[in-house]
Amino acid sequence: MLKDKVVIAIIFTVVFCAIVLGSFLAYKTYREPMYVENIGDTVKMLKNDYNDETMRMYRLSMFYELCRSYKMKDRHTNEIRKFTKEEMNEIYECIGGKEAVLNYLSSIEDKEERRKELELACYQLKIITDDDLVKLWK
Amino acid sequence: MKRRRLIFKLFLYYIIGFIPFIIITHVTYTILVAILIDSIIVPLQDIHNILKILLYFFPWYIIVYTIIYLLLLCAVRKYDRYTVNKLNEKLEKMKGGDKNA
Repeated sequence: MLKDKVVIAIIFTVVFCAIVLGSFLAYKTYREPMYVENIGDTVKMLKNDYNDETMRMYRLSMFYELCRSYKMKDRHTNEIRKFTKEEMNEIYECIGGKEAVLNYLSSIEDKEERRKELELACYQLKIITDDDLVKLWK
Repeated sequence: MKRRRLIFKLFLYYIIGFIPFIIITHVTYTILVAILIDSIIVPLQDIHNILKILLYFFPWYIIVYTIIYLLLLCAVRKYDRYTVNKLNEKLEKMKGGDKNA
């Protein structure tokens, strides 16, 4: 009986510690800096005013990813750049924000094209929610 | 010979515990990352990445599991000693009772 209790306690401890470690590593991964090829080029690309609306969606997606850690890391030099709130706001304004993307998506006349862009925005880039998708789908 | 057997047993228990530890940690990690990033879990895709992720986090697994294993060994040993001491005390009380009788 005592031996059973000891075994159960050991199993419980190992399982509990595994879950805690898994949670910690998941959070650590979530808060990792955004890995880029070149920090300068990436910041330029985010701040540049392109006329391409699809490019705007990709930039917004990258911005949301950057929002997790507020840091960018160069894949080759391992240089890390931290962004302040003001810099993040500046980048968001250069991109045009979610409103610009929603305006673009709602202005697409061709149904097939609109469906493709909505699926890209919601499921791949994750820049609009399911509720936005439902509203714009009609 | 006895010592070798003991060391072999301890090593075997280490391995037997390490495998489920890795599995549970990896499953927890995958589920939580999917929730945090608001993504879906695609098992076939995850199987391709599983080795990469395991190798990346392997130092964490080894260090944490070794610490837990050593702490558990110490705890079990202390509990064993406590149990043996308690039994010895009971035995002495019984012996003392017999002498008085």
